[in-house]
Amino acid sequence: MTRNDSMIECRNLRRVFQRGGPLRRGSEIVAVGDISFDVRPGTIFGLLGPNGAGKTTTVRMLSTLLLPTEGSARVAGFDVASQPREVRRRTGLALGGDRGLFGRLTGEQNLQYFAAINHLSPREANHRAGELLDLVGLGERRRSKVFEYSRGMKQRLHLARALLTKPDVLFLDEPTAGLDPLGAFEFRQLVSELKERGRTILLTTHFMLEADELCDELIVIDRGVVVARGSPAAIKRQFGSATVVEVSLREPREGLQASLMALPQVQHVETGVEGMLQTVRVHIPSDQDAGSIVAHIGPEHVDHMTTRTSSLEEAYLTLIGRDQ
Amino acid sequence: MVARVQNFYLQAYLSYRGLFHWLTPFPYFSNVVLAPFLTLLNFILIGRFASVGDVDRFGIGMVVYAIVWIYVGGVTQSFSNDRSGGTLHLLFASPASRASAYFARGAGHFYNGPLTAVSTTLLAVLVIDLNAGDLNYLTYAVAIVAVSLGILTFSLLLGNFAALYHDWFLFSSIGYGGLLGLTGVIIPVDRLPRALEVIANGLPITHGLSALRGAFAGEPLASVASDLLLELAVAGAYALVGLAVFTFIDRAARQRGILAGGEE
Repeated sequence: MTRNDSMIECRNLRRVFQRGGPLRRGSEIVAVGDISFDVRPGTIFGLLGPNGAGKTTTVRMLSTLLLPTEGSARVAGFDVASQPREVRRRTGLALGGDRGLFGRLTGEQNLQYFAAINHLSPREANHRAGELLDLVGLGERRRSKVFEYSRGMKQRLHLARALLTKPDVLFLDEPTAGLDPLGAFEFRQLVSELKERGRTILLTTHFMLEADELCDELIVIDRGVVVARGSPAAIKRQFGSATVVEVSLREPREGLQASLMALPQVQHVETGVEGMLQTVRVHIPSDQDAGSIVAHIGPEHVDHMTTRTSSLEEAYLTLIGRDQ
Repeated sequence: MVARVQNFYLQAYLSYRGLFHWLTPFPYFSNVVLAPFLTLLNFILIGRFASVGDVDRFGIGMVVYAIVWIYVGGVTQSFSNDRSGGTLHLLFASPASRASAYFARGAGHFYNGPLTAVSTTLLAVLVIDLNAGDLNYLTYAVAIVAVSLGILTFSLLLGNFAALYHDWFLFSSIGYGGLLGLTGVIIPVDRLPRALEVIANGLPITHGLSALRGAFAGEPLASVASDLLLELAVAGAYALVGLAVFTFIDRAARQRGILAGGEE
């Protein structure tokens, strides 16, 4: 555990990559500019951000695959730069995608190999492999070659591999990327179960639903720096529009978007078409009355109207300044 | 200790099965039996049609070169597949012993060396009358094992480059060519220019092949012991240098971000 009882403690982490080879130094790329955060034991902590934001680089530094250029990080009480072996003994890393597994070996043999490089005895390895394959629902396919596995099965095998050493901390880097909705749902359930069992989990994702459902706390990273932090609910409150008024119109109205944007309480307007109806989505602060929007449009033009709180996705889009 | 040995064996066996893509029947037969024999046949036939006096000299050289074929190709592809498959960086993210992991990547391949050497010898004797009438079997066996160790540790060193670079074929080509041209397989080492002779003495095969020629001439083990010891010393040197390079790659990967999972 770290000095302030955090399972993960990052202070001003920075990672710069140098272009060019050993003989010719090129320009610098700042993958992570300045990131600080703490993760409490037994929680799921999310790193959110678009591609290239610095999420994976941060995970690689925390899992000792990369040295920070500046700053420090402690995982399970050990410094990632000076005590990598201690960190490695206490962490599990699962990356998304097809890579990181031996396609020509069976699921069981994959786990036996990774158990061997993590110093588990063969007997313990066999026991753990069986236990984990059952846990992730691959027990019946343990003797199938991994190249025969579906994407979702590979993801579950990645998770089983990361759990081999009963790690205190799990790093999950975009674990549901490329999974179908059912596969992603099952994977999220599995991650929730692991949290119930006391694991600390650092999850990187750009799926807002996943972060909203799983994370106790999260940070949003953009271009290598933290642009927001807190619980999903707090981020939605702070950065979301708070209330979204969705209106379906009986007939198309030209110039409506511009006239709504002119209203002082309106933050953002999106228009679209659903079937035969034009739809308008208006973002307003939570202390504003949705009725003022309907009044402006004219009740006689409104087919139906709903209001809801803004989603984490909307807060995220606001944060990274890429509204669509 | 027993658990460590078991772990080493498991790593060697599973990394070999997982990373060596010539293990399916046709590629395996082709690379362990067919290609080495055909290469030997070519050299023997060229020698006979060119009226070279001692064509068996090429035959014995090619028995050893068969080991180069399977080790350099097999070990370098294992390292390359480890990198491109994304499993190498997981090794680096583990607390695994680097020495154990490094040598395990070669250990699984070991049996292929003696196997291809023996099959090539047998085919050469049966099909093209390679003269093995005076063969000292013990000297032959020990020489094959010593040469195999030398070539295997050299291949592991080349494997490091396959782990480091996408375009690693250059390094394996240098390995194939260097060992063919400089170690006495074709050209006697004492006929090489002085500088190349010095290099030849630092390469695997050179001393072990000399012992193997002794075996075909019926010499007992004791009379070729110095050559065999030199071959084993060269093997040990390549093992140490290769491990140092592997450890360097591990550190460089952390410092410079190579192999950090983004390699394709």
